[in-house]
Amino acid sequence: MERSIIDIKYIFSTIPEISTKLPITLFIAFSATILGLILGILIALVRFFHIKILSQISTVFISFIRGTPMVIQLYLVYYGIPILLSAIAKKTGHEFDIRLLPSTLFAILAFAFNTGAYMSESFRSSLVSVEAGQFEACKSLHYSTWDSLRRIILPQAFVIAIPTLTSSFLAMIKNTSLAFCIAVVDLMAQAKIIGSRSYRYFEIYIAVSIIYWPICALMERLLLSLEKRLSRFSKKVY
Amino acid sequence: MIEIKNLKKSFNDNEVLRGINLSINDNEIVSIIGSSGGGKSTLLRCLNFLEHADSGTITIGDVTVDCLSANKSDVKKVISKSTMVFQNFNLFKNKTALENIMDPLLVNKKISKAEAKDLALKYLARVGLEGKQNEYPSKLSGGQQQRIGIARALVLNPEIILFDEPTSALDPELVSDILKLIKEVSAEKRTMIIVTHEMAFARDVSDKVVYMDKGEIVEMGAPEQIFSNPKEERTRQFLARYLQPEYII
Repeated sequence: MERSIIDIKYIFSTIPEISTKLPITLFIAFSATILGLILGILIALVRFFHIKILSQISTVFISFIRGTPMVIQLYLVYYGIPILLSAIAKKTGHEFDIRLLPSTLFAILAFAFNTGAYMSESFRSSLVSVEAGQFEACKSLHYSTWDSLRRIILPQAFVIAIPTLTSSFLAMIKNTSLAFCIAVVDLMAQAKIIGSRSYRYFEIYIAVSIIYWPICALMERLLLSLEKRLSRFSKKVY
Repeated sequence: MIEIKNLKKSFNDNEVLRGINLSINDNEIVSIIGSSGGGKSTLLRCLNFLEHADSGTITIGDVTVDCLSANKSDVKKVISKSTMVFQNFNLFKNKTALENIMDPLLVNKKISKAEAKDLALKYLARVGLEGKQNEYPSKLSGGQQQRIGIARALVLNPEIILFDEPTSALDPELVSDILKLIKEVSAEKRTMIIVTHEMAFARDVSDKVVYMDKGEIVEMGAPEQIFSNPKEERTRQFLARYLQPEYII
């Protein structure tokens, strides 16, 4: 039987099977984003307040993350952390079986480091753009640094950062497709597995894009409405 | 009692305060006048450490801080004696009118949210803004924002309130409203230091007027003396410029 050039039916028939791995993709994206947010805020504060040593370390870290490919960062975490852990285990005289740790965990860590570095720059620029007068008002009303940050500065900075954080988050969802490199079976890996059965890779890649796109579009909408909700205190610009 | 001794402050090579000596009694109302760039605002900001003076001592009540060797807890004690009203209001943008007054209470005093709210509502009414409690600062006029700025400075019941050109950013027709409010506030027993360009107001409300120029105190005294009978030539020239506009349309 002659193979048709493109098999539209096949595209749609594979979507349900590929989608079974959607939870893994989303799980990696969400956990890495949450860890990345925490890391990003910490780095941004360290750099904002020019905390010695930590600030320099952060600068080098951000430069490294921005200057190396994501795939390499995945491999570095995937191979590096087990080496580090077994070295520590050896020193303390414990047995340690690296196979106990799932590859998903390494993927989450690698993505968290990556997105954390990018998000820290978003946070830092938004911290800088909060008016100095807001800090001065806090100080003149006897707020501690922590209270000023928590109650006044960070809520304002966060709203300013949301658009760029949205970009980071969408990039994160798509970047998770690299996790197959370290043996995580996510949407992308599942697509490749299915594709290898039929050799209809083109159709498979169309199918997998049909899954990624609406997910990202939905997230974009959700975050836009979050931005609107959180920025209700500012003047509306139409 | 506030005692400032030999206070100096430079920004890079620009000497903004060249050894200020000033003492202010409890409950005294002091206006600081002078040309822009004369160091008035810097002096005020040094008193609550928004600027850290390079040298000199600041004594407020029983706490003395030597600005050269200031330790954190003393600085904190000095800061806690005063609150400030800013030229451009600096209301918390992410808080409503009511929250702007409530939040400092919640941070500083050990009171419940309900108590803080009651007190904040009282102060909001006092500055004539009942009904505006749920508005964000971006929705309020300059005059309304400054009223909240004043309520927020009052609510912590500080010994000292610092006013940094409280009407300079306002439309002319709103200025007198705010000045009236400050005058009302001045009837309470509290030390107030007001940096202002409103000469008639300074004359009316102050116990003492300080004229500053080029980082120094040129002359100080009772308002009648400074405005009607200044001893220094520089003061005379400054007042002449202020009281007789140089241009007539």
